[in-house]
Amino acid sequence: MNKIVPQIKLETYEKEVFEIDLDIAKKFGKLVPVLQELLNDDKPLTIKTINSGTLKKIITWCTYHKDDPLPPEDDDNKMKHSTEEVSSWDDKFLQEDGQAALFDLISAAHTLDIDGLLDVACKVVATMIKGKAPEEIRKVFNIKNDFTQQEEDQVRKENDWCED
Amino acid sequence: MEINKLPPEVIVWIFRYLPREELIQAKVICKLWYQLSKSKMLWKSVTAISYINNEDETTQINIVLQNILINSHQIQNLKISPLELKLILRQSPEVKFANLLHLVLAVDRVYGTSLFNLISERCPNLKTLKFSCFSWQTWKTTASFLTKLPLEEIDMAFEDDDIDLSVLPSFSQFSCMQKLNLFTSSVDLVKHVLLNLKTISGIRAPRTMVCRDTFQNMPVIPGLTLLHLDYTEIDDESLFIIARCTHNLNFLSVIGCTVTDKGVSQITYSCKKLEYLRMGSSDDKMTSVLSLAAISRESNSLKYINAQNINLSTQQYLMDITESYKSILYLELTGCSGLNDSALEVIANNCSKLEKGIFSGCNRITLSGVMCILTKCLRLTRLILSRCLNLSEVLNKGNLRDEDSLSNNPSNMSQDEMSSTLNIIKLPMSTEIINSADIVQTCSYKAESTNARTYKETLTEVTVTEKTEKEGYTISSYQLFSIEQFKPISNNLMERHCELRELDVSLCPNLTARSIVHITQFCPDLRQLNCLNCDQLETSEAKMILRQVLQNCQFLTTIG
Repeated sequence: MNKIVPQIKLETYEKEVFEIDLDIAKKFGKLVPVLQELLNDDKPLTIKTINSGTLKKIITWCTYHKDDPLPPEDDDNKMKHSTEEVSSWDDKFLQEDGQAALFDLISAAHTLDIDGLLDVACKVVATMIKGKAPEEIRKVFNIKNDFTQQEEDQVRKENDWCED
Repeated sequence: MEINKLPPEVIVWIFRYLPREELIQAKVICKLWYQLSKSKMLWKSVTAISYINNEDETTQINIVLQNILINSHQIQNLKISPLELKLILRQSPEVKFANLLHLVLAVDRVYGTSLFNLISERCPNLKTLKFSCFSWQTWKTTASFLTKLPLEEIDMAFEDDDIDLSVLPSFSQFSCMQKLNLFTSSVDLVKHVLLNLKTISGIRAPRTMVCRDTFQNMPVIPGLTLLHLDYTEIDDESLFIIARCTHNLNFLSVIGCTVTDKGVSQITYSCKKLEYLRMGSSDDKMTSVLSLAAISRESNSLKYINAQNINLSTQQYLMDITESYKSILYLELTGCSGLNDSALEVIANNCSKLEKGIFSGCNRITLSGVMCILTKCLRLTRLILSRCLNLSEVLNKGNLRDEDSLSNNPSNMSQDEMSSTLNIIKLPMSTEIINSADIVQTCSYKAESTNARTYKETLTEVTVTEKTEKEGYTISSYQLFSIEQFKPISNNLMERHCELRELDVSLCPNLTARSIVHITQFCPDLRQLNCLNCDQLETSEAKMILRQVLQNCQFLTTIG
């Protein structure tokens, strides 16, 4: 006896169409009402900024976390909630495909408004930043130092106000 | 994609998880990061205590304080020592904390009134203030400064207990005051505030002389939602009065008061919005007259229950209560010696959303009960089991499984019969159940290729045969399910496991290293393990075994 699960269709950058169960897509924050309207539509919703690999990962994440409670609405509680550490499953899941894929995922999570995923992913990036010297950070994330010498001195001065 | 191509608000979100010092350092990376590190969101809450060397007040403001100055208009929450704040405000007259809403003056007491004067001028929108003060004399002169602010909550403690009655009228002048946390022994103040401050919504006055008289003739206060009255003279009569006057009560704490079931029952019945309830006594030598039966079953909003050292002789109540409140997030039953494994089992089955469980000093708990909690309450992040003397090696999964089946057929056997049966079958079963668990495990791998239904059938057959041969017991599929749950976390990524972060098993003299290793198999996300003063773990052999814990929990950061 198969119950028909309502599904929504999403088309990725590669023009591949994914069918997603509505109870998984309910993680997509602000997008949910939009998707619900498209529910009976045959035409998929095209999201050009997301590639197939990333969407697959997102579906996996949402399936794993589908029974999690929704994050609290107000800001203060969100902050409180966010002190929780990343679970081992999430940590492994997010890091297994390398840095570029992680940022793709973050960007997609932001587009699809999946707060929970965005939150853990940001925590993972923060741990990558922690404990590194500025030059190391630039190297790891491939960031160019765009300060002039003068500007950099100024910023450092702001910081070093009274460092011995 | 690269980090700087992300939308700026996402980068700020990442910065939120950096410690303050690292954030300040992130400023020098590039222009984008410099801009973003100043964003409002990041400077909303600042804790800046003990960054400064008290002796050398005049010369140096250190780097964190300096950044507080730069970002002062962004800050909404600030925790700082009074000395540092005074220093900032004095040295930089142009600095204004225009958006500061919550201020906590930590570490030191406030001496003198000049700081309050500065605060009232430079933090014009302050809503909550927490401080401790040297004397009521100080308050007398500061009250007039502070009434200028739109304060909604004050948390204050005074060194000297003798309240000067002449300060009472000053409290009526706070026009938006909602919460008062008083750590002084003044009954008059509580009464005065209840009668005169129409906006009041919460009072904390633990260890004071608050008693029935305080609440006598109290009008109905619909706004009152919080009462924290630990170790006061509150009795049943007082609770009756409170129940009559406060229909919207959300938080009630009466630990160490002389209340009985009658009073608690009345108040949990009347206050339908109660979410937090703390009761019992902190002293385990005192036989408490309270029991869990006191909580009225009509009150179904409860989320946090702390019932210390209460009487827990009948588990029926526990079953009823946890069944009616499936949404319980926090359960503390410290020192409830009546709590045994089948009670834990009831909790595990009913409270699947439980996040924190504290069962210290519950001497009848054994490992089986703990396992049950770990496999069923998957949201649990904190489990405290210190001083559980019976938490020992006897690792009989069979024991648990049988309780499992029995608690599902409570009509068949009474509690007494149940426990006696348990004792009989406990030992012979323990070895062979592990075998059947292994079979289940192998079956589950096969099952991945075949369909789920045949998988279940195979399972039933296998275990039933094994069981009926050796014990002559019939087994339901439910029991099988529970055995299956007992296999340690496999590598299968999609399988959900318990996300426990903190486990405290200190002072459990009978706990062995092997048991800890076994427990930790079920909680790979563990960050903190506290096993101080466990006698069995002191040997070098035990220490060798403990190494396996590290294999189970790759994130473990502290072992106490």
